Amino acid sequence: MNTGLLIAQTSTTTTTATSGIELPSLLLTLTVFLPFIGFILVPFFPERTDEQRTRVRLVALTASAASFFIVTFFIMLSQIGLAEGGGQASANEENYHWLAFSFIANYHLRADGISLALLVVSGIVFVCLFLHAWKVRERVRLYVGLLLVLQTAVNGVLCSADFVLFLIFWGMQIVPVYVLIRAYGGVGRARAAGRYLAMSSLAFGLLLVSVLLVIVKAGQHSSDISTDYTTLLGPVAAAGFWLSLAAFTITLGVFPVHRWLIDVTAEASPGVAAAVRGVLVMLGGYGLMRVTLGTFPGPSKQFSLVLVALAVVSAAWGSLGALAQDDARRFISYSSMALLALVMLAVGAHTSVALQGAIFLMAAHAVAITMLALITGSIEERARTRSIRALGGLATQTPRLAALWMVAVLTAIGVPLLAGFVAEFLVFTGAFPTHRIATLLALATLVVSTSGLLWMAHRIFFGPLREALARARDATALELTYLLPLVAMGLLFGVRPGAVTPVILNGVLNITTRLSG
Amino acid sequence: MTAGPGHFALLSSLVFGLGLFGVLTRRDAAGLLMSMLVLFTAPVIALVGFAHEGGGSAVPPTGDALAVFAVVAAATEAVAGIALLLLLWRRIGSGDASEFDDIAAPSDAEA
Amino acid sequence: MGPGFGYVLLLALLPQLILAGVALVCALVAALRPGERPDLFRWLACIGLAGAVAACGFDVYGMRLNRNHIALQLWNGGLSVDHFSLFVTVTVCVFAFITCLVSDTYLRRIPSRSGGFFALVLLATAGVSAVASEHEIIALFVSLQLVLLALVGIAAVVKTEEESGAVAWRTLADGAIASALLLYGLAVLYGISGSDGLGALTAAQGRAPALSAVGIALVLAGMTFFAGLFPLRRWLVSCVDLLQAAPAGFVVTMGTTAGAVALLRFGPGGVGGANAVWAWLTSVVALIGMTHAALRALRAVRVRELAAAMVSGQSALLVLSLLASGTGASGAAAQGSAAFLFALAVFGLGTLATFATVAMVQNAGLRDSVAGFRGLAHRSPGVAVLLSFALATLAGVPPLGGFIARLFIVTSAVDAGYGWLAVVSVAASALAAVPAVRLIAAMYAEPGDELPFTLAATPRLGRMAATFCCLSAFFLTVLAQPLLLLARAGAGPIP
Repeated sequence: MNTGLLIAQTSTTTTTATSGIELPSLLLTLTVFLPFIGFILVPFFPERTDEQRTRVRLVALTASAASFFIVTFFIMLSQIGLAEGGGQASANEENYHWLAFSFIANYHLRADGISLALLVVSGIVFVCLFLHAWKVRERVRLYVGLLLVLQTAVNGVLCSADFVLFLIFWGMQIVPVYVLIRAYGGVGRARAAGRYLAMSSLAFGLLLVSVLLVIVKAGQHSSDISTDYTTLLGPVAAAGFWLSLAAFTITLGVFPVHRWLIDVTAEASPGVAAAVRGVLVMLGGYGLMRVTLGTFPGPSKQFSLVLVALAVVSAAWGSLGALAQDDARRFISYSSMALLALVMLAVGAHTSVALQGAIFLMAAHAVAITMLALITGSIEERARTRSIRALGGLATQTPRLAALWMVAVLTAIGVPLLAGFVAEFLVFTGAFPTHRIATLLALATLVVSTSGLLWMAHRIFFGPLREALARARDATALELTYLLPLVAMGLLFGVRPGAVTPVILNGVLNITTRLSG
Repeated sequence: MTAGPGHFALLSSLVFGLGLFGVLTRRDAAGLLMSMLVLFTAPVIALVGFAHEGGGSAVPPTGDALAVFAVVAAATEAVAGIALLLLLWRRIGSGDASEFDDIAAPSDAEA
Repeated sequence: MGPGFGYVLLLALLPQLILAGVALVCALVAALRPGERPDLFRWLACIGLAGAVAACGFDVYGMRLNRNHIALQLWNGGLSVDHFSLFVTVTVCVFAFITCLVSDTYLRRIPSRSGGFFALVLLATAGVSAVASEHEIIALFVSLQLVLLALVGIAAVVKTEEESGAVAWRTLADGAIASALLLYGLAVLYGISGSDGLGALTAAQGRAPALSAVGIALVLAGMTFFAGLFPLRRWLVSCVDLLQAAPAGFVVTMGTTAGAVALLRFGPGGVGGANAVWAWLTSVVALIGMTHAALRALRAVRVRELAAAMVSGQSALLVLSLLASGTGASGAAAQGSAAFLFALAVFGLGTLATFATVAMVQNAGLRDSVAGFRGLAHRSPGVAVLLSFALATLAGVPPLGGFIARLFIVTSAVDAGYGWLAVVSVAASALAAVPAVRLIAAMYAEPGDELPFTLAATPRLGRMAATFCCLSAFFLTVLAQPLLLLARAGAGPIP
């Protein structure tokens, strides 16, 4: 058993094997490690002249786009085909022996519906961030290299079906993000980076203890995520639940541990802020579903009211806090906090409809916040300020930027035909039957944050044009290049939710059957 | 009255206390070295005493063997210590162990 | 004794004999022909190390022929060459081999002493491998003294500045005090059990529980010196801070390895891991050691100070894994000893990698304050990458080997019922990792001086060895299983 060799398990199902020959599927490995290969290659390219820097960016973009291409066209489309055919869509899976200590840890990757949807979204966000890297002119290698590590880590977390792998990928993100914040950013970057390091280390430590407790005390001698851990004693399960909840709450940036995330979004460079705000927080929501709900179903049901209460407080705090901000980035950050609180609400409601909604919400949120963060960066470049008061009337000078901004805002606040609508509809219909008052309260805060975002758009883009902004240029070709794919993704999720819903449902059912069973 | 293991234990603990006191209080390197040798003597006394507990010859007196090794080790350390002491004496011109410590202590001045 | 006692003696001690023999040759050649090139000694030492590793192979073969198939035992089991001691021997030979390769620049500065240096390196290696083989108090004491003297010798040989003499003095003074404490503790235990074997103690403990607690406490206090733990860790700090980086790395790696291995032979292998007094005292030592190291790391203003604190923290983690040698919660073994051996190899490689890269910075003439490392990535991207890898594995940042080693240790500690210590160790590791990550970021994030960085000051061989060390940190995650299998085989003889 523990020969130490990598032996393919026969249970692996390949969805792309159309020929008779059964090759071990490497699609998920490629999805995870193509960016890493890019990271290894990048340092070998010089970056003295402009052409050389372009080549570095191209290498990074290729690695990232290849990963996105594989996950979208090879895995997601085939899954959609399977689901539409009415068959039970099987998960993509790769399982090889890796470690045999007192427990057995395998190199086990699996992408069910939840992972797939998030993989696709994080993939498109990263591709756009690498396109945005054309705006980064200094230390390009470092920038794209660290972003590639981050993409590896994010894809790895989303694909891991083994706790040890999950932890390793989770921990892999800390150093690159810390360096990215500290190296590229505004005046307060060192302080924001310090906060990030403290909070992410804390979250990682909590997660580590929680996971190890489960692996050891369950007595299953396995660290597979899909192992049935219901054999855990009550107190141990409760401890694991609380520890994991604390860890993911920190990552999700929910009240009362949201300050670090607000600071990071405000101080990091636009690309890094988008990566953290758009993608990293998504891992918090993913962890809540996969680990907190999936591994500790008992305590999750028992303490669901805590989750819901946190969600409501957080939504109120975010939507009201946003109104007090003058800094455009902080405004966005608080609004995003209010939106993400709905993920928490869905997790607390733990119905399959609400969880589906949470996935859609994270997708819509990632798309919208990435766009908003990047456009804020563009406005900062032009206006040399991010104070909302100093801005105004930009719509006449930069109509394209204004239009894109409105699309992003509408995606976030849930206008029909955009991804946010499906998301919020599903979350509220899913959560209402179990937590009526909380759902209504959350709905009320959503109204506040929606009007806040619209008010902000009004103050930035409409009204009289400021003198200082009279010569602001409209969106360049580059900016359109990295913003339009995000619009397309938002539209896809909004117009054809039915295509991905069966796939996501397959993933969600894995978790809800545990909750009910 | 014959000396039993209790007497050896008492003597060795006295010597040990003496050596420990010397190690903790002496500032000059030569005195420190001597205190260390006193400290080494205490377990040697104990070992030899315990090795002949009950005067029996049934068990091989391994305590004696360890005592011999301990004496050898103490002597080697004394030789190495004196060599280092001479070296430092020539370089620094002082036999004060606390001065050696000051040199060996990492300085925080350069930050 | 059997028919071939001399044969068994020769076979069992072959690795140590080869090492000592080559050390003697080095010393003799250095004495007779003072003008010899340092390269000669280095290659002699490397051949000696290769010979020792080969001899370990013979020992494995010899064990098959042996009656009990477990170990080659000498002197009534006082010295037993088993899988554990072979694992340690091969590991320290690898450590010494890396040191031989990276200490080149340092030797160019003092070519006349290179013979003595390599002789002492081999002697220290032989000493640690003897520590791993011992099974009773005489061998324990003698082999630890050998290690101590060899390390003091190495510190003294680096007589380029007066500091090294003072460092050697401090190491010797503290080491002698620690040895006296250790010896006194052993004497007390011997007096209680009436036997030089450590296993007899637990049976005899009931006769004098208080006295045996005193004895174990004294032994542990002495051992904290070798393991580089609070309170006797002054030597480690000054060695790391004031010696040349390459020999400093060797001295602290060998010292902490010897301490940890001796503790394992004394604790789980000797008095028994289930011994309540031992377990209680060891958990106190581990707790204080981890906390102290983490706090020191947070307060460090120099890179080497940070390295010293992190080495100390690693040592405390090794002590923690000693506690987990019994059976776990589910009735199966907690495998603390396997985690111990795995971590021993990984931690040593991480330490050597750090010091090898710090040596490269030092060769280029940079100061070693954290400020001096600012913007290193702009001047020498290669060294910055290597140092980041080394520091990250030292700090246990995923996905490098240091993290896997910590994971194993913490898992087995939780399994063995030391959950609270495991939590403390996770917190301490996270705390100690923060300054390391900050240093890595400072190398990249901050603008540096435009002073030229002469990578060529480090010879190619040294650079290659440093790169190997740093890369091994990564590959020890991907290919952890082979090393883990060896570690499990090595932990087999430990009850």
